[in-house]
Amino acid sequence: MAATTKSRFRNLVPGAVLVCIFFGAAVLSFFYTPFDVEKFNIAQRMLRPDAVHWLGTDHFGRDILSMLMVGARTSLAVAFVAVSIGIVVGVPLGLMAASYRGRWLDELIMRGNDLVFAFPALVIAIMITAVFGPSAVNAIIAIGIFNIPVFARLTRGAALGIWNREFILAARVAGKNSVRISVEHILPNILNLLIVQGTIQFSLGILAEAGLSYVGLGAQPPTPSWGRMLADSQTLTNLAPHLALFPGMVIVLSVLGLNLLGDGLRDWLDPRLRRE
Amino acid sequence: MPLLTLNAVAVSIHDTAILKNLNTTLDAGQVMGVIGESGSGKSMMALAIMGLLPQGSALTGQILFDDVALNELTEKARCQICGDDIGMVFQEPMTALNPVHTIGQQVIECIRLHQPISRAAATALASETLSRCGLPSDQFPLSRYPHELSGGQRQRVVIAMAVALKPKLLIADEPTTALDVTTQAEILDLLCSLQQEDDMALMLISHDLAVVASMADTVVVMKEGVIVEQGDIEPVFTQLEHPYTRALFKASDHTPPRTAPNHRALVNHSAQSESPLLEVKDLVVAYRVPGRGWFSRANTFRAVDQMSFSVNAGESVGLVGESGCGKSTLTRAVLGLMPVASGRILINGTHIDEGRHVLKQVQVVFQDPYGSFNPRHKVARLIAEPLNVLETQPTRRERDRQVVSILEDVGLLSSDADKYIHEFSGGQRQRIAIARALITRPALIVLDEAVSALDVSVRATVLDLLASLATAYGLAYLFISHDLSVVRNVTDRVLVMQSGQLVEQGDTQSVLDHPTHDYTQRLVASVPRLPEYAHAAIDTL
Repeated sequence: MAATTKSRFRNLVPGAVLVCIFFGAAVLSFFYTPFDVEKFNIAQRMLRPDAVHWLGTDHFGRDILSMLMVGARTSLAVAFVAVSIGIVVGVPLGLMAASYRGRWLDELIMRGNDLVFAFPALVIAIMITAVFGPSAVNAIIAIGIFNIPVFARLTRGAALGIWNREFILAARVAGKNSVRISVEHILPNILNLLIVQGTIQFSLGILAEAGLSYVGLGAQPPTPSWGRMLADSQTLTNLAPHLALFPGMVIVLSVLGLNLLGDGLRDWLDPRLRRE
Repeated sequence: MPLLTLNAVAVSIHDTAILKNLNTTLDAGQVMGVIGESGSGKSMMALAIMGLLPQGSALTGQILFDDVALNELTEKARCQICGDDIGMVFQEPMTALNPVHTIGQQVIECIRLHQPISRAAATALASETLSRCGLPSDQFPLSRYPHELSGGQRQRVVIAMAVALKPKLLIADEPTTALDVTTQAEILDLLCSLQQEDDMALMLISHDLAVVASMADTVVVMKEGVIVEQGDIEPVFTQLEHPYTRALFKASDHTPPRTAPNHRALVNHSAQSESPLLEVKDLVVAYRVPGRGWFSRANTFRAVDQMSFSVNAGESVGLVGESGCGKSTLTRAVLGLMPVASGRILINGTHIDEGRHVLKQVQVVFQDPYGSFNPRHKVARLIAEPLNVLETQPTRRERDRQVVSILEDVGLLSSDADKYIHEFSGGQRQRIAIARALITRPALIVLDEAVSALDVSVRATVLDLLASLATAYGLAYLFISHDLSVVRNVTDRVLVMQSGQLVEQGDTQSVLDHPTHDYTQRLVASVPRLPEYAHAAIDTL
């Protein structure tokens, strides 16, 4: 048993630790950062990591650690809200499509999904920013829209499998309508899938936000963001590689942490795996 | 010189002993029956012989086949023997074939894996084997896909794959359990004739004593990973020396004691009206089947066609028929889950469309003790779910009280209400399913193959429970089953259904003893029977 317990938490623990570090840093940045991220200090620019500036400074002399902490705020907030949009809109759509399977409403929802899938996310994001101007909010909307079909399709597929089970028949014998069955029986049984997909979409959201900021369509200066930091450091890579290294590592580690957490949660949440 | 010898074979998986000290032999050309309940290690023994044990298992002892110790061979050498000299047939024909390959490809692959013959020769052999197995190539060309075949036909393909190379030993693990009785009889006949034609040894694993008795020369009785009794079948089945063998026989022919339903309980239902409890009149239920082309019109398929019957209060009525005959559709219609094309379903004289208060009179117990519960709800919530049909919902305390009292009525503990379904065995789950059906105090419970998935001994206790509940609650049962021996033991009347129509009905005893319709006659004739000597033994129990 000891061996299986250990392997069950093999993903969960490192994933949770990584994610906690990033969330903790984001929260902490509201109260405290080692240096002010909006204050330039040209005399101190492009310092290598030392005892004062743990991760060095950028070309304007801003402290990189402080910028990463504030940037975490942007990345996590954008990804979180975008995933929430996907879940709040996509999951009910998927449940609805599954309970009207094979009928016109199902077709309508799923073809609508295909329509959204057909556009590359970045093109839509560029369109949104062209119309409304670049900002973190518009990045959220763009990423959120692309999470909707992901969740709708996943939900529908998983829900269809559950609809064929005998306990759904039993619920129908009990006179429950499809809305109640979807909420009481279908949703709890696909929750682990949604959680896993949610954490994966969260990490993809972080990547997407970094990508949008990198091309200048995300959070605008002076708000620090991981993607912008990468973009700014690009021309200075030869002079100061640490300017690119640290934001890059932070993006990789946060995505890795979320994926590990997702896998770990799936193992942990399933009551069939929880038996003693 | 036996063909197969098990020498002190023991298997453990992750240090849990699964098989203990198995010693047995099987001679060439002999049929060995292996019986036992689920978890007795029957299938594990077959897997051990084939070298298909799951990961993390350890085997000690010796499996000798033709003087070669199979378990000491390398993987590669072993694969040469298994599939060539030893063939295997699995239980579930629906999943034993690869759905994206034609039946011809699958048989040919099997042949060419073991014999270096040309594709043309392999094709000829495959075609010959399939027709030997009852699938002549003019009707069933090699280009057929598994989904174009019925369950029985798929099992024939699986058998063809196993016997194509004329193995010396064929292992059949519950080859007919998933099939209808009539198909079962055909498949058993096929196995029997193949065994005799090729003079091959057959290891027939089954939980059905009658199947084993009709086929086997020797028998091995297993319980909890141990062989408790073995020998030639006739002495074993007549003397019934071991208490476990005796218990199996007793349970397989179990007739629950039935008393007339409690008069007071019955009054509730019959006082309301003179009409029968359930009355089905000229019922038609139809499905829409999409046309074959893109633009061709959809056809309708009448799954239930002009059926009329009735069930009286306190009566137990059996409904038998093959899979695909419309039993399940009929059940769903009676439960109000399927739109009715024409005809009427009346409960106590009221049409079931007239509201939920009518439907609360009918509840259901499904076949699968594993799939019919939401794994994420606790037992109390599972059992209380049908209360949803009541007009006034009981208070939480009232609901809990009812759940506890019903749990005790079905022979479980009140503390079970707080557990999840995976903590229970198959038999306990069926008790919970019965509790769920009872909570609305129905007059009729539809038992949709409710005991088919249970072992004989567990089945006997569940049947006893149903009989006693019928008395206590004044219940009528609509007992849907493919198992005629159970239907005979627990029902008053029986309905025989064939392709959506009712072909015969009447008193159970007389219908099953003197069937008049030729379909019923075929059905009754297909039921495997214990030989006379075993009957004599049972009578002395």
